[in-house]
Amino acid sequence: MERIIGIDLGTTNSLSATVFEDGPEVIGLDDEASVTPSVLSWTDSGWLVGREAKDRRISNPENTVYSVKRLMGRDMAELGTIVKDLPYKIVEAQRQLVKVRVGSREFTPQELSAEILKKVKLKAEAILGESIGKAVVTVPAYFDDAQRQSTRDAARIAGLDVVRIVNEPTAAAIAYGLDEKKDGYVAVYDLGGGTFDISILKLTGKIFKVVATHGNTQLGGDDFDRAVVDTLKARIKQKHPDAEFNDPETMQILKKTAETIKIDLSLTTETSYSFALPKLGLLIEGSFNIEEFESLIAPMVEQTLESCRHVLHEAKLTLKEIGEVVLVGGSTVVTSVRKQIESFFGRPPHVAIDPYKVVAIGAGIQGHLLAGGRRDFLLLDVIPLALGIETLGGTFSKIITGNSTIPIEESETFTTNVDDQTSIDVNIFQGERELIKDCRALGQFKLKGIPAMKAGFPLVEVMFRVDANGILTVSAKEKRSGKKAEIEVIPFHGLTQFEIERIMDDSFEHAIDDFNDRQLIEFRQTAERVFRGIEQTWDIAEKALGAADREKIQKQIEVVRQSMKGQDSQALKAELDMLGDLTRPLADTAMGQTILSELQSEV
Amino acid sequence: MAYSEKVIDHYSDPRNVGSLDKSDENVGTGLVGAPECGDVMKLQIQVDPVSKEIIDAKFKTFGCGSAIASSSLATEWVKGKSIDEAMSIQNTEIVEELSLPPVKIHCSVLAEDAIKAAISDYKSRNED
Amino acid sequence: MAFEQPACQTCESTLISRLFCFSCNAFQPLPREIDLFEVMGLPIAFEIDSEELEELYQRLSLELHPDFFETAPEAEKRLSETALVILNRAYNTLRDSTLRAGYLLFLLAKDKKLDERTLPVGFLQQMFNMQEALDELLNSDDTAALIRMSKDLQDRHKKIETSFVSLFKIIEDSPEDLEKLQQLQTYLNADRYLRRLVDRIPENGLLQN
Repeated sequence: MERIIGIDLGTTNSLSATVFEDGPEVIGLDDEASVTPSVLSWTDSGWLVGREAKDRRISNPENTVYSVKRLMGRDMAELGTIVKDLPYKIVEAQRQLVKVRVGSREFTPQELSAEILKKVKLKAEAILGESIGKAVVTVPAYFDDAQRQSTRDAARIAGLDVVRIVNEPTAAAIAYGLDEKKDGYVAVYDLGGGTFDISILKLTGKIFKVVATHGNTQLGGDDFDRAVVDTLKARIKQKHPDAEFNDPETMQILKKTAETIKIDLSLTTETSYSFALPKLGLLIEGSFNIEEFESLIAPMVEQTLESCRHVLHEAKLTLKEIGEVVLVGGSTVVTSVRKQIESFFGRPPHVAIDPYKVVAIGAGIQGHLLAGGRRDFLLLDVIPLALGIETLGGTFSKIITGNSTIPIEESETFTTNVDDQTSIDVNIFQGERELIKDCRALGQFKLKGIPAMKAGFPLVEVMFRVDANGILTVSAKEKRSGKKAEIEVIPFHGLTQFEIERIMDDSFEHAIDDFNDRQLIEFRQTAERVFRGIEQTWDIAEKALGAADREKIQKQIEVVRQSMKGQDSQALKAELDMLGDLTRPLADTAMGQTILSELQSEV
Repeated sequence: MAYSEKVIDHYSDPRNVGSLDKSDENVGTGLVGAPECGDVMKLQIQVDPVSKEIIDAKFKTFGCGSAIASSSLATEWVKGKSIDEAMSIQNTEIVEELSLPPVKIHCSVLAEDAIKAAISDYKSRNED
Repeated sequence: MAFEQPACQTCESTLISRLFCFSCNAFQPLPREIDLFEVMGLPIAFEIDSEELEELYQRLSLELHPDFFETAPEAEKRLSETALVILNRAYNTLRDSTLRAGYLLFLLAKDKKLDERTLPVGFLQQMFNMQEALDELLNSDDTAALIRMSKDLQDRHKKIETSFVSLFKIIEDSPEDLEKLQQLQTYLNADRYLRRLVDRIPENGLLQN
C-alpha cells in the first residue's frame, strides 16, 4: 500500500500528518518540529524555508516572503489593499497572474508554495524513512476552482501527486467525527491566518456529509494584525507626524509587534510594548488593552458571524439543531473570537483536538482511506460555489448550484437570441452572483459550425461534470446539427502544462533531490536535537544511570558524530537508533520523559 | 458598441423599470411568466391615441438576470414603433461577429410574449 | 405502483438498487435511461419513505464511492464515478418534494401532450404582487411581517403537497386521466413560483428560532 500523507498548507504554518500504527498523528519529532512556518527567504544558495526563513523576516525583509497562500489564484485587482501592506514586491505577470519579485528574480505563488511543500515533504520523508509521492492537500472550503488548481500546480512542482484536495473544515470534521463518534450536525468554524470558512456537516454513522459551506478567502488573523499595525502607525503619527512606514524593515517590525500584542491579549487583558524603529530612529513604547483590540477586530468577527447565518440558511437549519461547534485555525485562540462564537451558537465550542493540528490529521486520515487502508468512514463533499455559463447580457446562468454533493453531472439546454448565429461562446464561470462580472471566469470555448437557423431554434445542451476530485469538465452540443465541443477546465489563473514543466526543470537545478541526501540532512538535524536533549537531562542521567551506562552513551554520541560527517544516511540512522536505545532509561524519568520520549519513538 | 456589451448595459443599468397607470385607456399591460423557474414579468406600453405609436414602455421583472436584460431591451425596442410593427417583433439584429453567448430558452420568448400580451390588452380595451 | 424487481446480472439475486448488487458486490451494467426510483429501490409513487431513501443512499455510497476505488483499475474507477453521479442525481431529485413531483409527472406523462405553462387562475398576478410586497419588506426590516410571509408560503406549499398526494393516487388507478395530469402540472408550476419566493427570504433558518 503506497502511503498518502495529508498536508495542511496554511497561510502561516504548514503541517503533514499520517496514520501510524497507533493512530493518526502529525509527522514530526515534537510539536515544534512538526510545524513548518509558511515563510521563505531567498539566499545566494537558494530558498530557506520554515523557521530559519521566519527568523530573517526583520533582518532581510525584502527577500523574505510570507502569506503566499493569499496570492494563490488571484490577480492584482482581487488582491487590492493586501499588496501594499506586504513588505515584499508583487508584480503583474501575463494572463492575470501575479508574481513575487525577489531581487532580480520573479516567482509565481505556485512556485513559492511548492518550496513550502517540498520542505514539508522532505521532513516527512526523513521521519518516515520512505519516499513520499502522494498527498491529500487541504484548502479553504471557499477556495474557488482557480485557487484549487493553483494549489494542485504547486504540489506538482514539489513532486507530489495530489490525490485529493480536501476542504480544511471538512478535514477537521473527519478528525473530530472519528474521535467523538457522535451523530448529528457539526459546525466547523475555521479562522486561519488569511482565510475564514464555516462548514456544516451531518455525521451519520460512517458517513460525513458536508451540508453547506460558506466563507471568505480574504479574511483571517493577518487582518487582525493589520488592524493593530494601523493603530500603532496612527499612535506614532500623533507624536511624529512626519513618520513614514513604507520601508520593508519597519513594516516587518510593526507586523511582528502586532502579532505579539494579539497573542498576549489572548492570555491577559492588557499588554505593553516597546520596540525600536531603526530606520526612523525612533523608540516606541505604549500599551494595548483588550477592549481596544476587541473593538478593532469586531467588524471582522461580525463578518464571520454573517457567514455563519448564511450557512445556516443554506443548510435549512436552526441554531438549536447544531450539535457541536468545532474550532479550527490559529485565530480561534483569540479570546474575543471564542467568546463571540460561544454567544452566537449558544454553547461552548469543542476544543478537544488541537486547532493547529486538526486539519492535517483529518487530511492524513483521508489519505489513509484513499490509499486503501480503511473503509470505516466516507466523506461526501460538495462544491462550494455554483458553476455555470455566461448567458447573453453578461448574466450568469447556474448549471450546478453551490453546495452540491460531488461527483455530479448536470445539463441545461440553451438557444440563440440572434438569427443565423453559427457559433456560440461557452464562457464558464463560478460564483453566486447574478452578473458574470461578479463571478470568477474559469475557461471558455466556442461551439462552431452550427448551421444558420432562426433565433430560438438551435438547442444547445451544455453539460457540466465535476468528478470526485472537484475537477470540472464542460461539454456543449447543438442537438439539431450534432455539433459538439468539450474541454477540461484549466482556469485562466492557473499555469499551463508547459509552465509547470519549465518551473520543475528550473527548480531541479537548485533542489537537493536525492533521497539519501535529503535523509542525511534531516537525520543530522535530528542528531543535533537528540544531543541537546541528552545535554538537558544529563543531571538526571547522573542519578538514574550507572557510570558504565553513562560512558556508553558518551561513546555512542561520538560514533553518531563521526557518522554525521559521512554520506550514508542509513548508517547514521542505525547509530542514532542505537543511541535511542541507550538513552531509553533516561526517558523513563519524569523530566526526561518530556524531552526524550518522542525522540525514542521517532528516531 | 458590440452587441453583447449593449445587452450587458441593459442588465447593469436596466432602462424603463417601473409602472404606468393601469387604468389609463391608452396603456396596455402584459403579465407573463416562465413556470420552469418561477419568473414573472410585467410589461406595459403607452400608445398615442392619434398616431397609434408606442410612446412609452415600462417593465418590472422578478426572475433571472437574462429575463431582466431582455425586458429592458424589449421596452427600448418597442418605443417609437407602431403597435403593428411591435407585434411582429423579430430578432433581425445584424451582427458582424456571430459568436455570442447563448440565452436561456424561456428567457428568449418571455419578453416577446410580454409585448404581445401588452398589445392585445391595449387592443381589447380600445375596441370600438 | 410497483415495478418489476430487476435481477443481478452476475448472480441473479433480486436487486435492491439498479446500480449495485449487495449479494455479490457487483456493479450493474447501466441502461441508457435509468429510472431514478429504481436506483433508490423505491416504488414509483409520490409518497416515499424518506428514511428508507436516506438509508439506501448511505449504504450505496459506502459501496460505490470513488474514494474506495482510488487504487483500483481505471475502468472500475470510472464505473464507480458514474454510479455515484447517478446515485446523487436520484437522491437529490427524490428527496425534494417539488423535484420528485416533477420527475414523477415526467415519467407518467411521457407520451401525452400536456400544456407545461398552466397556472391556477389569477395566480401569476398574485405572485407578482407578492414579489413586489417582498421587495418592500426586504427594504423595511419588518422581521415580523417577513416571518408571516414565510409561514404563509410554507403553508401554501404544504397544501400543494397534499394535493400532489391525492392526485398522484388517482393517476395510479387511472393513468390515462389527462385532466388530472394537467392539474398536476398546474400545481407543480405554482409550487415552483412559491419556491422562488421562499428562496428570496434571507436567513430563513434563523427566523424560525
